[in-house]
Amino acid sequence: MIEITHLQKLYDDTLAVKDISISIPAGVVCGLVGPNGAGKTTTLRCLAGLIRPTAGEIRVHGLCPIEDQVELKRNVAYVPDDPPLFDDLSVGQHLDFVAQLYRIADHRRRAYDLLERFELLRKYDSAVTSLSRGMRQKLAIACAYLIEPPVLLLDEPLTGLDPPGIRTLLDSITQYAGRGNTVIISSHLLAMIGDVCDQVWMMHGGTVRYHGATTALRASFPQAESLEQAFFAAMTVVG
Amino acid sequence: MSTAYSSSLEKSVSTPRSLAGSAEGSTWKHPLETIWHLEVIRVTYRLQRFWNRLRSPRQAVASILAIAFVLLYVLAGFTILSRREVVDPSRLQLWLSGGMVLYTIYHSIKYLWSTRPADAPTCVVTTPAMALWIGGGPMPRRFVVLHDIARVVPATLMKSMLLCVVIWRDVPNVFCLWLGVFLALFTLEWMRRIVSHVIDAMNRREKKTLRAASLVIALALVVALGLQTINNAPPGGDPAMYMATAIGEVAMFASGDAVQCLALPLQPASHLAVSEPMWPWTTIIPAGLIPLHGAVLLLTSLVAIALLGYVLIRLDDWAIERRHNDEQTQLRNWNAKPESSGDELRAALAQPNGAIADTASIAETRSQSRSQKHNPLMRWPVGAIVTRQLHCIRRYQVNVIVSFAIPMAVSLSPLLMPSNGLAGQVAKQWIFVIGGIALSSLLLAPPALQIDFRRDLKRMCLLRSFPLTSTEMCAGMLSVPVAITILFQWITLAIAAIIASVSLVQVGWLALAFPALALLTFAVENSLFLAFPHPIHEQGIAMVIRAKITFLWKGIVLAFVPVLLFLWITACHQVLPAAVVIPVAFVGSLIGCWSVALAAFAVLVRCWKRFDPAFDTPPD
Repeated sequence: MIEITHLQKLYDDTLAVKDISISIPAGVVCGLVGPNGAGKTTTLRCLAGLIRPTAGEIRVHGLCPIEDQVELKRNVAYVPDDPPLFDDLSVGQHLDFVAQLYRIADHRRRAYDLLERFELLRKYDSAVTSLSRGMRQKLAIACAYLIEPPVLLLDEPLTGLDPPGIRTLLDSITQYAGRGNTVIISSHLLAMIGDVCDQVWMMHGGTVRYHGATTALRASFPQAESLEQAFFAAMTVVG
Repeated sequence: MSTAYSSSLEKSVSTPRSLAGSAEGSTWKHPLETIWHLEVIRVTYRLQRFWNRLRSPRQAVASILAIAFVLLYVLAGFTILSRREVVDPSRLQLWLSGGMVLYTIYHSIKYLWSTRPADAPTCVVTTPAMALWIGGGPMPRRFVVLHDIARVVPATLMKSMLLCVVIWRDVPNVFCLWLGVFLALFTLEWMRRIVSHVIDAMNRREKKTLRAASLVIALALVVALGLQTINNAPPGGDPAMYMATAIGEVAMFASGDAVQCLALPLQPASHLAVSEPMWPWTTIIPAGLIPLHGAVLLLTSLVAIALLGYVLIRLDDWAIERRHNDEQTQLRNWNAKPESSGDELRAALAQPNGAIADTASIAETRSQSRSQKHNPLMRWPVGAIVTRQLHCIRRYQVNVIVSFAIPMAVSLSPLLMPSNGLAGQVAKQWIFVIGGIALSSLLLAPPALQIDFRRDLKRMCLLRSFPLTSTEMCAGMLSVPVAITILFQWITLAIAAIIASVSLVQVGWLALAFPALALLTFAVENSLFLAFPHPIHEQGIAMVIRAKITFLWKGIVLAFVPVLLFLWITACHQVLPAAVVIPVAFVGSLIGCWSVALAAFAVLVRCWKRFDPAFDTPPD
């Protein structure tokens, strides 16, 4: 589903991503973890076709972000950390706009369900400027689900969400991947994502430190009681 | 997906207003239609917000000022300006097209010297929301580029109307004027973006070379215009004649063949604006058929815009490819570095987050830094704001130096005129130097030094959270721009005083009074901003009106301050004994100047106190 080969990204004098090669099959939830500045967001933005890699090859759902730019974007939804929204649109207008942009037929009923699930239905007519940080995050996630793409990229989606919101999101991710879609979720809340991730992808300094099954990571460090402890143990060993 | 949420469908919840009776689904929409729909919603929202703010008591002053300005502007257009001497339409046409080329050259140089963030290296101006939803959406890049330029249409239409109020008397047909000016301004937008795309595509070395070349060209132009002005000004003429000659020379340069050749895409629109036939259509259509000429010029202008659009889209592709190739070259050099040197420590330090580097030693070095240890600013809370402003100015130091060097040269230039021993000539030259410094402080310093509240619109909440009083915050924000303006004033004044040999009392008074003008300028500029906030690079009719109002108050200051000073000195002479006239006039006028400046500062403090980030921050 996602194939990355020798991916590198250079910003002026900073090599943000250094020669990453990774493969993530369909129907998998992959947790992308690593310290700040590890290159997680840059990698996700390359996968979403928002920035062009300096070198290397990317295939998402069999599509190349450069050659099949528009088709790739139709098959990928990217929700950034603190997603920017159009301040002059209401919640409902946002979903309408996304539906129109992604050519989604009969979207209203699904939009309605999604807003209900993320407890935003009462805000349907409200301007996005009146939403809290967490609500904005929920709206962006709802927009991503509305697109229903085969690949969903979530960058720090739990930041700002209330505990019920986190639970709803994690449940929805599991269900979504269960239907054969791929989800990459970048987060620092390792304990939270540990339960839903089939795979863990650890990055440090623009390189891959670990990629494999979550269970395998835990098995490598039997003394670790949680993914968080296994993460720190793994970082200590390789770092 | 739909099955996953089927359970929630069963729940009965109240239907939101917009959903009621909306059983229809989205059908296929062309990207342009999607963008159009988005923009209609956005414009509607903005108009609604504008209307609400116009009626809001919080915005009363700004609203009254804006309405008064529009009324005065239109009134002046139909009364005072309609009585002036009519300009030859042919000359107007040349100025219109040539002036826009000069503006494009100015924009190119300015853009060449500006810096852009590494992750947003293109001139396609988008908000973060635009970048994510439009840039990241399933839409061909060409629509993103076209959308960016289409957004300027409403503002351009309004700007054209404002310009028509000034020059309607010079042309036979006002509608053609409006249409022609609009098309010319719209063509100018395309030209600006084409130039910007070419600059964006350049690598560092090419930009450096072009920057050097732009300096040489700008210098050559200034020197050529200066020499032509000196040659063509009447011998022994006063600085007013000299300034008029200089303006005439610029107009002549804009009308010249070279500039007019560069203005080729603007020619149909500029001819349409003055309702004059244009070659080669004059060879086909009889000169008397003006309506037919107008229709042909309109079509030609639209074809020119379409061609520019095509060129822009092609250039955008080319620029992206070129930047990518350059990035790859840099990457090859980057990868080659650590291997060739074999220095492991250097390679480790080259890690982007420096995680492998010896952080303890870095911390030790930093903590012992002289600049931190002995910086007196660090011991004063406002010093933190000042220090941050200084960091900010370092980034733009070249732009700031260039922005002030040119007005300094222009301010001092009257002193280079031969006085030929005419009585009062030196005094006139001196007055023009003072006028130049005042004009530069009022008009050029605020746009050149936008390192105050105007830069921090998105960080207003953060600024509010700082443990500083409103007075301290305002003083900190204004400190650096005001200090730089004062530095410019003092240096110009010192050079002028050496050349012109004027009395020290006069120079001393000016040296103490000009800083008050600097404070007044930035205090009013920031007060207006806080009362009527806008993003730093905002365009649109509101910005045009705002710029005109700003210009108006500056004009009032320039007109009234000399009159008030004259009245004060006359009053001193008539009322006081001769022995105390000079000291009282000296100190009294300074107290007056500084009182006005401090009052403006107090207004700024008040504006900052009442600024509510939740309510006043405009939509992104």
